[in-house]
Amino acid sequence: MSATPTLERAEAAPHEPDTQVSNEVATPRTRTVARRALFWIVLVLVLLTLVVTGLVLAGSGPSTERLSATNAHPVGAKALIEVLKQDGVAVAAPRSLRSAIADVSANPTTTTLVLYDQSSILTASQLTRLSSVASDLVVIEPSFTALRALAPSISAAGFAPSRASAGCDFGPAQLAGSLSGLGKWYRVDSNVDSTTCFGSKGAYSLVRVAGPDGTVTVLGSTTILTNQSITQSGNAALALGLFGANNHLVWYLPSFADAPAMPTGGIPAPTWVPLLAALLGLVVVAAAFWRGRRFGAIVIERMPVVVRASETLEGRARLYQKASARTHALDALRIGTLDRLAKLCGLPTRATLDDIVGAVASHTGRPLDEVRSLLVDETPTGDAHLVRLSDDLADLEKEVAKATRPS
Amino acid sequence: MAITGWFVALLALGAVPTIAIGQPLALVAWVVLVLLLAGLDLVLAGSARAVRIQRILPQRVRLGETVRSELLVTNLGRRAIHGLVRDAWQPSAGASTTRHPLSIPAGERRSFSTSLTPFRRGERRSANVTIRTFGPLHLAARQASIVAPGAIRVLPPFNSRKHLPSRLAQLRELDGRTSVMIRGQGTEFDSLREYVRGDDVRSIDWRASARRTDPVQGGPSLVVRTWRPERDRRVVIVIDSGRTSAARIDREPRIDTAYESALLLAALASRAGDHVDLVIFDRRVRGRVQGATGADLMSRLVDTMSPIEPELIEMDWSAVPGLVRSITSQHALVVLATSIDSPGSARGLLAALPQLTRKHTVVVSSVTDPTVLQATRERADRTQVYRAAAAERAMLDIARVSTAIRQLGADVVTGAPADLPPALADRYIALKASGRL
Repeated sequence: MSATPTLERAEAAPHEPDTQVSNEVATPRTRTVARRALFWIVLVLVLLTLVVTGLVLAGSGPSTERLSATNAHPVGAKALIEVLKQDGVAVAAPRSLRSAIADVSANPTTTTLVLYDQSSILTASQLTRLSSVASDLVVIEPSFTALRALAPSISAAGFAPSRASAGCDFGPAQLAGSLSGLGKWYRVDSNVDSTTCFGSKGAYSLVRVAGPDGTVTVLGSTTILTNQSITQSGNAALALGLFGANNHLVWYLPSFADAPAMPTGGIPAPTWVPLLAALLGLVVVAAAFWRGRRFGAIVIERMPVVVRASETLEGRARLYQKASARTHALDALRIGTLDRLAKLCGLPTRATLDDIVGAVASHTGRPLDEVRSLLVDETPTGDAHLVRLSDDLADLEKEVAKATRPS
Repeated sequence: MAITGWFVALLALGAVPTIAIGQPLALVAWVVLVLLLAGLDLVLAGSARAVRIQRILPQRVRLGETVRSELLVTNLGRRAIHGLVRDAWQPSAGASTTRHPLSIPAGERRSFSTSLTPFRRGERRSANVTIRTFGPLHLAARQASIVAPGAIRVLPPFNSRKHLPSRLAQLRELDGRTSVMIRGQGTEFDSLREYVRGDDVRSIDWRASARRTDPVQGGPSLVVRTWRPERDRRVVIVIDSGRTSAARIDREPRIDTAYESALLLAALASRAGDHVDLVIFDRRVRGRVQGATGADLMSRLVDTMSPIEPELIEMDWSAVPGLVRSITSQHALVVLATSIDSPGSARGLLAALPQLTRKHTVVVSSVTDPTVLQATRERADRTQVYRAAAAERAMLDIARVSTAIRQLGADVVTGAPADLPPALADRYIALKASGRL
């Protein structure tokens, strides 16, 4: 068979022993892949649907916000609202300014508007719009901005003791007698006609003043209205009296949808910029697929174990050095030197130390004591000394080799 | 399926209409157009599945040599295929290239050749051949992997065969020597020949001389007996494939040196007429060659050795005497190719040796590290002195173990990786010459 391109038909397969023929395809067909993946695609779709449905349901479920009309948790106000409803008060719980105004405007004279702006979302102008429609406005723990906008004659006066008695002639307050769980105190300008309860010496937790469009009541506590504390002391009496005064109640807790949009600056971008960004994303994905697509399966190979033989040697050397085992190291060097010296001097393997020392001394002409001290007795005092001794040993070896070499 | 760089470029070109028109519809239209073109390309591309793969491959190669691997691709589809073919050889097969451009008309066949220079012993494989065929627009490609297993057995290099001719010459010199050169019980009577000056007078066969008359001078002539080394002796080589054989000395694992020594010894012994058996062993028999002779022996040896790599387990020396007993009940030369390190790690070997030496001639062959000897001589600074001390210590350990082995009646052959095989061969010749086999 030739190695050049041939025109012979496929049927003319050669019959050589070292030729292997195969046309079994390892890559699955597209429809096989699709069929295998079908289960997972369906599974993912079902899971997605479940998650989305769950999220939607959870979003419309009872909230966990403080004083929310639908919150049955200890910090909610569902108990109060439910009781008010049973008493025949029509309760609306809008979450946006627009619907709150709409709810109030439906029955402007017979509606109590309750505002609790926990996160100080509303701006002064929004608050003014709100107060202009409400004839009976109850503000719970207002912020500085809210006080300025709704009742400029009232100002904050610090924290109140948790328990207080009415001490005024306002009906619901008298009914309640005393409250527990109060939060803040407010002060009223002395030249303004006002009703002040639950406090003393000019600082009160409940202040009623007549505004330009109706009465404004400031209540300095959220705790007394919560599901947890509404049953304590006269809390319930005050709340029902305060909020059940009219036939309609609008329980308005502003949400972030009411927050004014942040102003954007600069020149408006051309319309194609986001499109180009999208295209860039697509190109990146395509490029990733182009470069990332493997040309066949990864080839696996078992690698042999690699162990360097001199590893124990290096390890031992480092161990000697770390422990400063000078005597130990020198002993090893001396034993090796003695072995070679014995061979050089032609001594038998059983020769004693004294034999070797004697033979070396006679060959080199060095004094016996000096040779003995170098080969046996001297102990190294430091690393420098060790290096010097090792050099001396090497020199001695060379000297003996020179002396014993046949000339 | 795969896409090409052209596809990506074409998609990126969509920036022009997007900026020019500035409408989302332009972008969507462009993407759809590109996808349609790619789909069309995919449909028009030749099938990557309708091919037949044939391999023409030698079965064996020595490590370091180069062979040609031929791949024949037949297009069985109705359309021509243009694209790439990849022959997925393992990296250590040393393929010159694994990818070839491919262009085959329908029903025809093309050949692609790759040169393989494996750089690791053992079995090197290529499991699949992958074919990618591009469409006429070069935007998208079809791809399929075809199962086409190919394997090539990479044999030990047997570099030490360069020592074989000189050792065979030494072996031949043993033949026909008179007893002055060779004494011992192991030699066999070979033939009678005429006395020449220099022969030992003790080897003159007086009876044969008496029967014979000189054909030229007519007078009596002297005849001497000649001897030849014994034949049909047994050589059992046990190679340790345990933990210590994995260590690399001079960039060669100990086991590879053991293989080289074993191959040289086996080549020599089989020419000398002895039977060679080989066992590669750690805690179990990893490879075994028994009862092979002649050319068959060498090919079976390299075949057995080629895929075996050392394992990180301790050698079980206690099983070795039984193993040798299972191979031969006669007296044999047992060569233990292992490593002599420290008295601690040689304990198992030393414990098993007496059982072997009682019946057999035992030679322990071990690779020594030339860097250790070199380290004893380098003493320039503090670090090197400590290193030299450690090296001296290591050499002392080896010397102690060697002495212990000799005291147990076995012989020790050591050498650097390049020197060990001829040293072992020389020891074999020496044993043979002295008739101790």
